[in-house]
Amino acid sequence: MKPFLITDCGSTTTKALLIGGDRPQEAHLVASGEAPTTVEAPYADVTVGVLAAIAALEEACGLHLRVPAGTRPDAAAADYLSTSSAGGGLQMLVAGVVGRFSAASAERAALAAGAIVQRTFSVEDGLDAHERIAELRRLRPDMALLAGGTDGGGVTHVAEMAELLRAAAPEQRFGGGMRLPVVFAGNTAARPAVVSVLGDRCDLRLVDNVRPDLERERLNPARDAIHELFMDHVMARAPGYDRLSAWVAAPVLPTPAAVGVTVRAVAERLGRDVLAVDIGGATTDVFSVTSGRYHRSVGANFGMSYSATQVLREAGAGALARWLPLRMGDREISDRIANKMVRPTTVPATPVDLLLEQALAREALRLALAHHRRTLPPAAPQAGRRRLGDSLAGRRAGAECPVGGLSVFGLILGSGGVLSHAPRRAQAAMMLLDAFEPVGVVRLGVDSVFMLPHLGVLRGRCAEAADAAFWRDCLVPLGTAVAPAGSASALSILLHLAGGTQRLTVPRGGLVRVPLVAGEVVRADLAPGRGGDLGAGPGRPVRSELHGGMVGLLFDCRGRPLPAPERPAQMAAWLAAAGAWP
Amino acid sequence: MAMNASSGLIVSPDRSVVRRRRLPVSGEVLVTEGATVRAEDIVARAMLEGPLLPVPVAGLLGCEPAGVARLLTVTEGMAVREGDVLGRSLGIWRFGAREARAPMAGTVERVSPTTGQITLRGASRALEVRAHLPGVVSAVSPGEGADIICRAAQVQGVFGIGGETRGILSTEALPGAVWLLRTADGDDLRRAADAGVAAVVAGGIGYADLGVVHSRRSPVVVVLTEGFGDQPMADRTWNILRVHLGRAAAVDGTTQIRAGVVRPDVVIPRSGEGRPLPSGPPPELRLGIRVRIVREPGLGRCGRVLQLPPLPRTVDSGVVTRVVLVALDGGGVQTVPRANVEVES
Repeated sequence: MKPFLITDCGSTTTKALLIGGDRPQEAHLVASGEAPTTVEAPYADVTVGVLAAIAALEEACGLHLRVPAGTRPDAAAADYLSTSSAGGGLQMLVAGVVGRFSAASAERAALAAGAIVQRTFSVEDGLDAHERIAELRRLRPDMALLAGGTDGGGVTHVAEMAELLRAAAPEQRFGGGMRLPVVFAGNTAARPAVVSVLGDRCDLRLVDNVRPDLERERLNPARDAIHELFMDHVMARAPGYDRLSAWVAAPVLPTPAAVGVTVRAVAERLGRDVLAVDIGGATTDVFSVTSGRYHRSVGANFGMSYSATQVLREAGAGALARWLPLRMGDREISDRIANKMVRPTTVPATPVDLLLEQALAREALRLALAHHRRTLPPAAPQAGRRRLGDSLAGRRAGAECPVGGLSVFGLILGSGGVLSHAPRRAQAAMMLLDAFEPVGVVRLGVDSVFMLPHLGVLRGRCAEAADAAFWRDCLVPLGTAVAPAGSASALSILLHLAGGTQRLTVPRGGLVRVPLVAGEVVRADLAPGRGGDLGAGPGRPVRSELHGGMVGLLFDCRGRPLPAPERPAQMAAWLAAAGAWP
Repeated sequence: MAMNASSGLIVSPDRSVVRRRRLPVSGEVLVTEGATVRAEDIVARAMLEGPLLPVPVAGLLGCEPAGVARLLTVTEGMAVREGDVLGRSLGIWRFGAREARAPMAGTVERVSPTTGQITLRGASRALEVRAHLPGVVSAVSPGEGADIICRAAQVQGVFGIGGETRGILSTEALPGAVWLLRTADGDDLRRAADAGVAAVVAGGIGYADLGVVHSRRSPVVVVLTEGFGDQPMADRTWNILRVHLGRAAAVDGTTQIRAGVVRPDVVIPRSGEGRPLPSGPPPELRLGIRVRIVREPGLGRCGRVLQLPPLPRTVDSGVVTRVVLVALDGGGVQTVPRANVEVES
């Protein structure tokens, strides 16, 4: 197999990976290198950072991947691919007519395309027309998505939003006097009006309605049009991207879109619903695949450094304090978090600082998941079918009694420094457990070195290689969590190990870890106590396969919703049981 | 390789400070290269287009959008005053007659037959950029603005609130003053707001205390030199500022932590000393250089770099990272993640 050289141009760092192997099924990470992203002054050319990252990679593996002059990747040595979120990624404004219908659908389409949604406008957004215009002008987006109305419905409101856009004439982020790309994905009957208003001012693309009727949502045509415009307009104008686009063997993908490709592929391979999260300094992206449908949301104010004080404001210092195995006052918590915000590149050097950052992560993840739930697509209309989002919204088809928030997820995958680089893997597992409160039998994992975007763009060229590299090098398996839904109940476990069986009981409210190395799988008979539900109904046993990992098996009988630890000693006991503390 | 450590905040008794003064939109530059300017002088001006206001005329007149045109008393491009009639429907025998009037003065920019709206554009207004510092115009960017250079004492803070202001540096809460404190708390911010202080410059303040600024909608600019919590201003910073008590200071609270970092600062121009000083790149982390620890443990302590071990080490938190050994002022050696020190500059 010809190797693949793949870069992700992030907002601060450009990371280059070399994926090689004799055959695609044996593809693996050969080496990596990174360098600061150079999309801003003084370089103002993204390819400077790309070449520096490739040079670092060459140093690590001893191969020559650039042409002898070092001025570009050598296509003869490797197929070159790239993703990008440099320079702020793809920034979009979204407009619809009704906030919870067309505007919400349009926002989901933009997010699914990997965009950062700067703002969503609707006729009921509470702004006066002049305020909307002022805001539209201030934003300087890369692109706009306009939706509104069901097919064949009224035209007037859609035309009003188009006129606002025309009046504001928002300048494109990279300027240059080019016309703003606008995707219209609204009422097909409004197309003539929209064309007459915007046709001579914008680069207008007409695609199928994201909301053809109130019951249905159709995001793919808008998403595809956004990707096309991203390449043609945004990439073409961002500093250095004309060169980058000439180098790549396949179109450059926005980083979050590429992550989404990987998450969807993993869900397909597992045949299970998957939840993935990427927690960064400023934002937390949440990706889910439920019943085959994909949804991405961006917790724009939930992050570990730049947005740390916004998490603090939203959650409150008391919410962070509950995750600490020691006492700390609200003022000290808020001062420490604020100091992290103003010096975002510092690292926790003391156990107390580390614990506080991990407490912050729990709250950022929790808030991001709540936001993800709020932005879920509408339920499918067919009676009797499981509604999209049931697994996230705590509903089960035909059942009044919820089995809990995340019961159907087969895998929860975490990415981002606080998870991937936690000093102990058990700390990452506990952050995922405490923040997401999964129920049932759920595998947990973290991304080793943030390869998810690279593998997403690779999938478009060679799916087998992307698959192989994901399971071999990207996914760090933490193990499997078993957590009955409902109020805290005991759990009886019979593990069928190679050398015989092992029986254990986890008391009500308890948390027990059983080591099981990565690659090992055991069958288990799991019998929850009265009130506990592992998916078969309250108190009913289930048989399941449990996958090992760096942490092993975590039997979590603390109850759902997870009761807040009453005192630091209780949190200390939970952390100790998982091997995360002291 | 001395990677990871931040180049520190500028704390200098005498340096050449260059300020880029730019319009956000294209306009006219009013100064020439080499000219001497005062802080309050306008260096560039732009005329901004007036605000846009859509007026739902069809709704006001009770007609279909397509029928609006025949009821209008204005045409595109026409100037109107506030209250002028834009259109009129006569009703039946004048019963139910309606009028649509201009809610503001401006020009009729567009009449839409699709929505029945008129878009009015208000009068244009001037946007001006002042020098902020007294000095010399070192460069002019046509249509955009100018660079002002001056010799000054400069102290960058780690966090600030508010924009630009000027005042006399003082250790008392006086009206219009730049109030210098070792540490501040919520009561100090309340006093500053009550007294009409222009800016508060302090070492640290409780994060929760900043609520005072927001709750009172206080225009007081705040600059913190150390961070949040009980962190007194570093001796070196305090001493640099103190010698200028009674002199005019220019303060900018603007802070941006993300890409394109902007830190707040206090600049005290040195009158009569306009000759620029040579400036070099920010100093790198190297043996013997002075650093400040910017995270616990030892937050705020200073010292000299003793060793730069090339391989990562495990620190108390369990994090594996590259470290620096610092010989602390006052004695003792501390191992610190390189990411947790700033080079003094």
